Amino acid sequence: MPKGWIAVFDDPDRAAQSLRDLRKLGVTNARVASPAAYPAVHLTGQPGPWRAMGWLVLGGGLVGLATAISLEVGTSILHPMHVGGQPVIAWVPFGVIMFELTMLGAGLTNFVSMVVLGAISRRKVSRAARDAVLSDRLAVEVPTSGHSPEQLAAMRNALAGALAISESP
Amino acid sequence: MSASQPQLPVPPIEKDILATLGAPGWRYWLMLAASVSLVVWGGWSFAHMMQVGMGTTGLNSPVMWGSLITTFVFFIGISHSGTLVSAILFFTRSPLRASIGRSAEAMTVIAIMTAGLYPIIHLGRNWLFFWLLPYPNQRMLWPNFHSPLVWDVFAITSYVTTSALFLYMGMLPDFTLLARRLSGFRRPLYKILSLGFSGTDSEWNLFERAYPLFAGIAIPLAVSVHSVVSWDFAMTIMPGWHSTIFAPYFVAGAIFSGLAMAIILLAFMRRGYKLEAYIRLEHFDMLAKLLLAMSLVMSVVYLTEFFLAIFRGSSAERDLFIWRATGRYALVYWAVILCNCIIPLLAFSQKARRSVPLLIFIAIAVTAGMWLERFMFIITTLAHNYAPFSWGFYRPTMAEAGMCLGGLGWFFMLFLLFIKIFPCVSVAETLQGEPATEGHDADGAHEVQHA
Repeated sequence: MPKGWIAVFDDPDRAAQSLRDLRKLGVTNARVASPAAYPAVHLTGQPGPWRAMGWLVLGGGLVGLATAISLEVGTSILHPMHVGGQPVIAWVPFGVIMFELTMLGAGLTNFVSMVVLGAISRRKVSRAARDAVLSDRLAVEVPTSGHSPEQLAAMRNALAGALAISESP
Repeated sequence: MSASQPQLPVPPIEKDILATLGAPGWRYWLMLAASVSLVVWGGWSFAHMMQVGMGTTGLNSPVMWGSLITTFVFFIGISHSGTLVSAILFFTRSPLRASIGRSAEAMTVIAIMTAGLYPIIHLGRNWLFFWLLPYPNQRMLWPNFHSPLVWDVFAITSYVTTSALFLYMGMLPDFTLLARRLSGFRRPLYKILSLGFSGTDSEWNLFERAYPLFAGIAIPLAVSVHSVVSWDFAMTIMPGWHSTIFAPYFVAGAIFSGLAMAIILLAFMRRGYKLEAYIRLEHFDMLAKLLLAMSLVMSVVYLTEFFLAIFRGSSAERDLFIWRATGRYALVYWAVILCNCIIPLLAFSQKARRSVPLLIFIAIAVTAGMWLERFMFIITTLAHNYAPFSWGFYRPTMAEAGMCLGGLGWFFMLFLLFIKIFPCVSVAETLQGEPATEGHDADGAHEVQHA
C-alpha cells in the first residue's frame, strides 16, 4: 500500500475540482503544491499557522513601539536638554519615531514569521510533490492510508483530471 | 518526479521572463556604460569635495542647502511612488499590478538607496555620518529626537527596510519557479534567495496573509516618510516653508514624480525586453491618467500655496512668492509650471496616452519639472528670507552637477543590474491573474489571451 498519491495537473481549475470531489468523499487531508495562489491552495481545509500572523505582527509592532519609547525617553533622561521650548520628554515629536519603529517592528515580524512558519509547515508536503511544481504544473498529494479499496477507487476517480499520478515515497 | 523536466515546453510567461535574464544586447551595454560613466563622474566629484572641502560646491551663506538636498528630496519622491502604488494596486486588485508592481517596487528600493547618499554627501565631514545614529558613545551625546533630521534617519531606515522586504517577499515564488529553469550563477542564487519557498498550500496561505499586511504597513509608512521629509522644511520658520500644506504637498509631488519615473522605466523595459504582452498600452493609458490626475492636484497645490502666501498677511512670504515668479529664479519657476502643470495636460488626449514616445516625453518633462520644483522652493526661500541684508544667490557648481548626475547614473545602473539579475515581471502573479495561452496579434507581437 503506498503512503499516498501525487497527482500532477496542468490546469489549476481541474486541480481545484479534484480537491472538491475529494472533500465530498470525506478526504480532507490532501495537500497542494502550486506555482501561484490558485483557488486549489485554499481547498485543502488544513488548519494552518497563518491564523496567528496578525497577532505576531501586532506583537512585533508593539516591540518596535516599546523600543522607540525606551530609546527616546531613556536617552532624553541620560542627556536632559530643552529644545525649542519643549519639555525633555516631549511626546509629540517623539511620536514620529514611535510610529516609524512600530511599523518597522511589524514589517520585520511579518516577514520573519512568514519565512519561519512556512519552513515549518512545508514539511507536511512530500519533497516529490514540491519538486513537481513548475509554472504550468501543480501537484495534489493525497494520503491513502486507512481507506478501503472502494474509497481508493473513488479517490482515484476524483483525480481523473490529472496529467499523471504517481505514488508518494 | 524530478525537479527539472527538460522535456516539458516552457510556458510563455516563463519563457519571456527567462529571455529578459539572458545575454544583454548592445543597447543594454550602452545604457549601462552611460550610467557607470555618470557614477564615475559623481564619484570623482565627491572625492574632490572630500579632499578640498565644501568650498567646491556653490553653497554659501545664506543658501546652505542646494542641489544636493534638492536631489535627496527628488529621489525620496521617486521612491515614494513605487511601493505605495504597488500596495494600492494590490488592494484594488488592479490588473496593472502584475505588470508594473515589481519594477515599481524595485524603483522604490533603488531610489531610496540613492536618496540616502545625499544627506551623507552633504554633511561635509561625511565620515562622521554615524553620529546621527543613537548608540552609546564616549561623547555621552545622543541624537536630538525632537529634530526632523533625526526623524528622517528613522523614517528612511524603516522605509527602505520595509520596501526591500516587500519587494523580496513578492519575488520568493518566482525564485523557486525560475531556479528550476535557469542555469549558471542564477540557479544557486535563486535557490538561496527563495528561502526554501516551495508553493505548498500552507506557504501560500501564509503568503496571502503576510502580503496584505505588508501592503497595509507600506502605505502609511510611505506617506509618513515623505511627510517627515517635508517637515525638514516645514518645522522651520522660514517663509515659503513654514506651512501645514507641506506634508500633503510633498506626498502628492512624490506620487507625481514617482509615476513619471515609473513610466520612463517601464517604457524602456517594455521595448528593450519585448514585454509588450505584459506591459500593455492600456497599462500606459492608466498610468497616464494617474499622472494627469496628480498633475491637476499639483496645480491646485501651487495655486493654494500662492493664494495663502498672498493673503496670509506675512509680507516676507508674499514678497518671496512674487519674487519666485519674477526674480532671479523666475525661469526655474516658470519651467516648473510648464513641466508640471501644462505639458501633462497632453494626457487628456487618449492618443497621447497610448503613444509611448509622447508619454516618455511627458514623463521626462515631469521628472525634470519635479527636480526643478524642489530646487526652486529650497533655494528661493534661503536666498530671499526675512532679512534683506542677507539675501543672496546660489548657482550649482560643476562638482555639484557631477554629484547630482552621478546619483542619477547610480539609480539607473542599479535598476539596469536589477532587471538583468532578477525577474522584472512577477511570474506567479501573472499566472494567477491570467491563466493564458499565447497568441499573436496583427502586429506580430504576441499577446496574452484571457482565459
